[in-house]
Amino acid sequence: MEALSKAELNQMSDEDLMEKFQSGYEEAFNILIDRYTDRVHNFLYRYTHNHQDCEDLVQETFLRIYRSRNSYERIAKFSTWMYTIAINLAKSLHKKKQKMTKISMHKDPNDEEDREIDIIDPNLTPDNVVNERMCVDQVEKALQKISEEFREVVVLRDIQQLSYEEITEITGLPMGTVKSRINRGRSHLQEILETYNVNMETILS
Amino acid sequence: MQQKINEILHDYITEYVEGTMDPVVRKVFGEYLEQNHEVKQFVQKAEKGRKALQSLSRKRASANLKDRIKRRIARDDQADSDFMEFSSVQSAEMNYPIFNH
Repeated sequence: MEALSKAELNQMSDEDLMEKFQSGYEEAFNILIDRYTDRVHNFLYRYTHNHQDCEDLVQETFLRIYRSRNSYERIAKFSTWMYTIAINLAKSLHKKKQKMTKISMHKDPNDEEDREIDIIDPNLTPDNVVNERMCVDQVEKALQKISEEFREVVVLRDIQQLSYEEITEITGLPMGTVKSRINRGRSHLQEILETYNVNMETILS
Repeated sequence: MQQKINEILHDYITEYVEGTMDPVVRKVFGEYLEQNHEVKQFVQKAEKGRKALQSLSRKRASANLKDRIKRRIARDDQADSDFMEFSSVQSAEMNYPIFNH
């Protein structure tokens, strides 16, 4: 097997890395973990809204990819394949939890790990910063209130910023359904936000 | 109301909301919205809902999550190879029971 340095592997596309991984380069998989852990985590957090579940699912997603590396075919984008696995795992967990108990829809205030990246706009006054944080919390809350079928697609589109084609591949839904669910999901989210007594202008402007 | 919006209209709405619509079509669609108050309200909500979603900052994973994933995979891999080794020893013992004595 031709030896490849980490720097060479780092320059490869995801799909090339998967091929290298399939042919025995374990390091190629480590690079995919480095590239995608944060993105998958961000996606799964919006889906589960629970830090522990989210991290467990991220680990499980990569473990599944590792174990089923040989079922990956280059006709699919690696990220699309990965999100499909992540979504399926998240849905299974959701169903399991629904059977066991009513799920908690709110984040755990005592969980130190449950945090946002601080992106503070220097133009914001302290009041605005507080208001912005409150708004973001309300959006998080509203996102957990919209139905799962809407949440899945709006998170993929507006938070993960995937293309419509990628979303249709991941969800297995026709393009028309994806677009309709995204529009309805966004609109429904806004309807919920309007019932909260918070000035959303800071984040909407 | 939302049931009344058909697939073609949803196509236009996504382009309008995301600002990817051709300017001429956008102008015509804007005029259509002025005539259709309910659709206009729906579109306005979708626009605001989209902005709200985009305001959500990235949820950062724990600093050691990547390492934990790699360690878990290594552990899992080791368990698999231990099992394979155990199975092959067992199978060899079953094939050659005389070696047990």
